[in-house]
Amino acid sequence: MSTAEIQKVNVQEVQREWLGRLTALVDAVEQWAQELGWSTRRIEKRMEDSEVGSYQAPALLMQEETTRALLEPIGRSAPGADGVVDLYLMPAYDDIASIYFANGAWHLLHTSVDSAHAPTSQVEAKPLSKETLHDVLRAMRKHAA
Amino acid sequence: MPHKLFVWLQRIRGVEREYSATRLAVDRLVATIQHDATILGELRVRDIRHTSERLEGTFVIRLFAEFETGLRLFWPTARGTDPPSRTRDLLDGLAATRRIPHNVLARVHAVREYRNSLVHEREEPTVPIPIAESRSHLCQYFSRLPPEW
Repeated sequence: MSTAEIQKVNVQEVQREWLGRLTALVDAVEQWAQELGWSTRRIEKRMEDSEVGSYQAPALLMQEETTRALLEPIGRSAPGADGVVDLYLMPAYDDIASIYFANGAWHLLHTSVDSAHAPTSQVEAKPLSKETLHDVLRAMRKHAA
Repeated sequence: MPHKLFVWLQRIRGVEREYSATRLAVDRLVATIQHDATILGELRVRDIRHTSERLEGTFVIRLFAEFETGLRLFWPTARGTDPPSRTRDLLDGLAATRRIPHNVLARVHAVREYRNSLVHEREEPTVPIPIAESRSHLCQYFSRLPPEW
């Protein structure tokens, strides 16, 4: 196998690993959201990555009554993280939380807001679970009301 | 090629993300040149400060351009004609077609007027609108378009 072919296989492996991790996250969040009474719909986002090229990644729309949220993949890697996914309040696209993969698990960093537009503070990251997601979604509904 | 609402919303949000990255880089540069301005080469410290001061406005212009491009591409589907040349008419026309609430339209007009003040350097005062707030207003208007067209 040539060096170019080896690099291509490595790139495919990196992309496969990231998409697997991301799909597992979207699967989990979709299930938790549905159990919490939110309706969900999957959409795809075109990602541009300087190392692995362009690809389609899963994103998740969630809605409960008039509150809508979007779980959107942001990037495969970031300093200290092997994957970043953001949670937004829609349709304004306001920041609600950032979810990142580190030390073998997903963590949730909730961004507090005191207006519809400007993030004001971030609390300490917590492991992502149905409970921490519920806290964020509940705060989001309160904020949107 | 069909247009998807969320792709356009992501593009608008992407401009704000680019602003955040550039803001971080410029802030770091401003801090660095306080100690060592020799890295600037032929540039002056005031060039960097000027860039820093105008950065958010520059990205608000780009943000609005992305938003307006999407609307202009949607107009022929919605109205069956070429889009109007005046942005005000574009916004009002699509608001009427898509039944966009007056308060949502008014906030987008406020962003448009702020954009105009940045582009045309008008003398009459215009209330500056931070980029996050601008994005929020533009996305709320844009989300009134159909999921796909």
